[in-house]
Amino acid sequence: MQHVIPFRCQTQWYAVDASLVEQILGAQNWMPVPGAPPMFPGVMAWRGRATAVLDLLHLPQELVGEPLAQKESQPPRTLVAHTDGCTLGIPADEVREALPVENLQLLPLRLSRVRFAQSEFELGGQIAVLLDLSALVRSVIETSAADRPR
Amino acid sequence: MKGDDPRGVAADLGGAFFMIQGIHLRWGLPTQRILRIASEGEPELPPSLPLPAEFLPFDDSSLGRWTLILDTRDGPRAVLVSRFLELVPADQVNLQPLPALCQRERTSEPSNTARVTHIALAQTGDDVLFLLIDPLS
Repeated sequence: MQHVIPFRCQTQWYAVDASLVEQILGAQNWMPVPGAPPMFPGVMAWRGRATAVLDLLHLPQELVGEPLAQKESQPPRTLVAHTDGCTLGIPADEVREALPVENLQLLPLRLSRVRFAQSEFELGGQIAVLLDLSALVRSVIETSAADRPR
Repeated sequence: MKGDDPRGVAADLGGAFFMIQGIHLRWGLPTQRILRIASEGEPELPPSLPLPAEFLPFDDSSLGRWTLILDTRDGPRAVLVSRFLELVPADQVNLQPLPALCQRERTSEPSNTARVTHIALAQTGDDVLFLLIDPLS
């Protein structure tokens, strides 16, 4: 049975395939890396490895209204996920228990305009988007490769 | 540099790193790449080494600053640093490659800009110590 893990970054709810999530940690310190893409602005240490940090506030989206503002403090949770050979840490303000996909009414994107979202569903009266982490990671890797001088 | 094997990299860079404290970032420089240490304001210093981000040396005005003269691909280059330097032996550092997701070649960036090649983690725990710059890479 497939599960997803819902989590919140500021006011936006997301979810990822639970099979990609390696661990859920508390707040993690990370160090910015100059020149890194805005979506992956720095690194944290996890199990003795340098792990890219995914900043969902920089996820390209076509939101109606003001863009989300960066907060000063570290969010209290960090999801560690692995896909396409890359491990990433995702700071989050709140993480909920895994939900079986069959209990969710996954809908095509109608209200959300979040890039790399596969579908949306209702979660406690709010709209959550199911992220395609694999597509997101592949997109960044391919862009990086294309930017390199040949 | 010998591939991405952390031990090979550390061995290639010598036995220790200078960890230099900035206002926002901590950089690491291999001691093997340091030609000499000059006083701040010494005349006829080589040009500054372009770093990937502005480096604001920590300075509480009591310690003063030094200029490190580094061996780079373009000849000797200078970096002004706080005297608040920490010498970190290579065997206390877990050198990890910069994750692919954090790499982006900026075509607008001058080609002589020093690059972050590795991330130095503490051997004893999950802490990021510094961003390693190898001026000869």
